[in-house]
Amino acid sequence: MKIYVNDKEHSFDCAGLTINDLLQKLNMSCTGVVAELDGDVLNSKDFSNRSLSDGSKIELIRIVGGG
Amino acid sequence: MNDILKIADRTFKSRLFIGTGKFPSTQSLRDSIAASGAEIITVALRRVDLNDTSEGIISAIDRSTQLLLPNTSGARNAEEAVRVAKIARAAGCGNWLKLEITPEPRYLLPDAVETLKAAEILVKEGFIVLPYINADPILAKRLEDVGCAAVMPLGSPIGSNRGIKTIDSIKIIIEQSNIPVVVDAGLGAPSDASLAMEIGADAVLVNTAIAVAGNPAQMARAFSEGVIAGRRAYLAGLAEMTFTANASSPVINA
Repeated sequence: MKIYVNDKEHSFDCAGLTINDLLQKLNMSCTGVVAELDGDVLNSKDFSNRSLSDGSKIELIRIVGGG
Repeated sequence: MNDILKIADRTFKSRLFIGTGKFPSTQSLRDSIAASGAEIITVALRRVDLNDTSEGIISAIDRSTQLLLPNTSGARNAEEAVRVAKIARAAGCGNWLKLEITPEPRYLLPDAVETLKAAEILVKEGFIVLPYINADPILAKRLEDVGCAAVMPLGSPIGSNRGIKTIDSIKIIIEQSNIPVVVDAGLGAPSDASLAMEIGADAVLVNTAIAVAGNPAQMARAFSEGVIAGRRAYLAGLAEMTFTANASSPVINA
């Protein structure tokens, strides 16, 4: 399945990935990360029960320095 | 000096807000926050860089004593700002928000129309909204009317270190405002922060001038002292300015 993470294409050879699974495959911690999937803003509590499908577009966002 | 700043339902001893961008390291940021005594700390939200493994800046902020103030920087219109606000809330930043809508990158000046539109929506959705604005006294009142908790007029463009070029308009905003006025953007030296406080601003926000200083923690302390001096002078009542001399020694013929 193909997933678009922050506009970049990633291919995975399994189906039914959750957001948590995706973060693991990307070697990312879920701490402080927010996801935007199909217009929904999701925090880490939702990451284990939201599945991605082929062609899903997900935005991963985190807190950074700013004024 | 028992002098408390109240914004919405919270009180603060410090009148210096610190921004967290551009610091050379997370440790430098941590040291600067400590040296500044700031209790309101701004952050931004950005797409995750999958190649960046550096320590997150959030570890530099003590949420038990410091209020996190996420901004909506990067938003070019009201719709984008509302989206960033919801992301900030989902990221655990709470419901305080520095509303910042800058449609063009050269001067990063705030869009008054979109800012007012976004403020109305966000106040209704329960956010404590502190909008970044040009020093426009009419806009400041309009934002107060829709329920903003403070206004944040700019001194000069973001990160320009040019000081307070908008001083006359900021004085009008301060005179007319029933909500706190926080001078934001362009403050390049502690004397700029002092000047803002001397004319009656309730607080200032500083980021670049501290973050890119040779010694950020020392500069944070210098800004803190500048804010305290300016505030004390304002409370003490500044002497009147005159065009002609007024002898300070007794005028008696010897």
